[in-house]
Amino acid sequence: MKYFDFIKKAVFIKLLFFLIPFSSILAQNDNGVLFELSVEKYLMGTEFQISAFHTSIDSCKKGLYYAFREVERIEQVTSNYRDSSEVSYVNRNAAFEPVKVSDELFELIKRSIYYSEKYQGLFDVTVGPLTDYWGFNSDHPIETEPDKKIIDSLLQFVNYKFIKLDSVNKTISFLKTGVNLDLGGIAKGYALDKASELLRSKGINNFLINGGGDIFVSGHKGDGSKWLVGIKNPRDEKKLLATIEASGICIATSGDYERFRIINGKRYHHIFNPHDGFPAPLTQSSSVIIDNCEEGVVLSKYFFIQGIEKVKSFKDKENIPYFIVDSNGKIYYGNNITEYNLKLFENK
Amino acid sequence: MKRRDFLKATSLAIALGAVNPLKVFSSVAGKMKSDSSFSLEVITSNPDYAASLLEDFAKSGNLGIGEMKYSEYPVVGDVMGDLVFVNDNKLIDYITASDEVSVKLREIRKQLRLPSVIENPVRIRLYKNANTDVNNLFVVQKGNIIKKINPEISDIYNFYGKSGKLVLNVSKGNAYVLESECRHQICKRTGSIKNSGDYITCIPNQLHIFAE
Repeated sequence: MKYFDFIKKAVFIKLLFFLIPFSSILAQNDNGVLFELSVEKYLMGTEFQISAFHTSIDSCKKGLYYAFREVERIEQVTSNYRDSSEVSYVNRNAAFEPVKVSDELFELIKRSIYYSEKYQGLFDVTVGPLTDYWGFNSDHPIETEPDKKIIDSLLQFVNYKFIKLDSVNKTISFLKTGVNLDLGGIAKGYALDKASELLRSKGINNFLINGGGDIFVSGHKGDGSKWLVGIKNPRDEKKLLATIEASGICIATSGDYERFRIINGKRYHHIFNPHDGFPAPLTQSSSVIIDNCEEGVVLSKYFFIQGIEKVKSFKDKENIPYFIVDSNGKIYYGNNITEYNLKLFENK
Repeated sequence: MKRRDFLKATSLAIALGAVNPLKVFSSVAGKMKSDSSFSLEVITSNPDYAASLLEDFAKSGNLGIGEMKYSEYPVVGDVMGDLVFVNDNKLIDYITASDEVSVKLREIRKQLRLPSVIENPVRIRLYKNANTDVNNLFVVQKGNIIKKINPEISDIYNFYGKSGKLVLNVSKGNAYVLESECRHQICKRTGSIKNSGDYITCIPNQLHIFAE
């Protein structure tokens, strides 16, 4: 291939890259008008927000409505803070007899166990006794120095291997009394994926959905550009450390600034290590870019707990762009994140 | 959750009918330019119908082209429903003007049976490139606007939610949470809001305070 032909081809490919997404927006754009709707709602113990572009206000409103209703439905299945939820029913009964559950919950717990095995037990849905003790998800978070003896005593109930699944009868049982499921570490990601699916099924393809800092972006903004996602400074939430441009991907973040208490000068936050029961100390925030939010929220916590040194040796790190702020505030990111047009900001 | 009740948004906006800072009445000469800023706000009992009228109005090219933002909030109480149009920071007197845009807006107003006092109406707004001056602070709880505050009048406001009291301090165009009995304290850590589009959210109390 001659140099000139190569250049022509390269330019053509580049033009295609930019024109295809932009033309897909224009095709939707009735008479040059595109409406942006943005809605937020308090769900699953956090704030969910969806921003979407569409040519019809009514269609967009309906799509957003059904997406939020889907999140509400999932909350009703997975919340362990609602007595009427399916998970609460499991928690009350599964230690005494196998509990038949919906296919949806069965599969979600099955995948949770898969993630527990994949991530060396640092993700574990049996952390319920620990989350209850720390109280960050309740109205009464811990106010005094944590008691290691109590935490050690609770750890005997924390192990995903205490969950027994019967795939034939779709039942769940606990091998030990005192086991308590808390799907908080995965349900939000699952809900984001389901809400995204639902929006697309309603013809809404250009949207950003944010569930308490975990984000899925689809399509493009109204002007055809990719979505710009900011990564917060964990010690000054009004400032950004970086931005990335993304489309059709999840950016999941775990941060020690989301829920915490400072007790006697020490920060105790809500991301704790299931192996020792204490807040993971190595990281301030951890973001990952991955194609689905369910695994994204699990993986961002796993990276958070592991700390940057172990993340560097993570076998799939080439496939998972990450952005980590360690406990000293030092920033680390995988080279592959630059594909997302990473921009860093001065934060002094 | 009723579909009509769920929609709420952080947004730039002019106030609930009252547009105090805008003293200049004007008319629109012909159709608007693409780079014009505008805010078209309706207080109505029939938001779906109003939205469809505004959408048709926009798609007819009356508001230029490109992206337009849409927001919708239920409002608590008896409120004077009406249609307010601001173009390039000028309040448009579409009632008496004879230009094409004004005539169409009068028709929309008539179709929505405005003005009239409406119990618990819905405020909808279509806008683009709206100004960044803060005219009002809105306090939203469980999806309803429960309070409109003039940010220039210094005062302290108490709001109550599931987790207890939230104290909002308003002074010289700024607002910040002075105290909150909630567990997260994110509202307090948000600091001061002073620009249009800024907001404070207290998740445990389900309170959302935004500046427009």
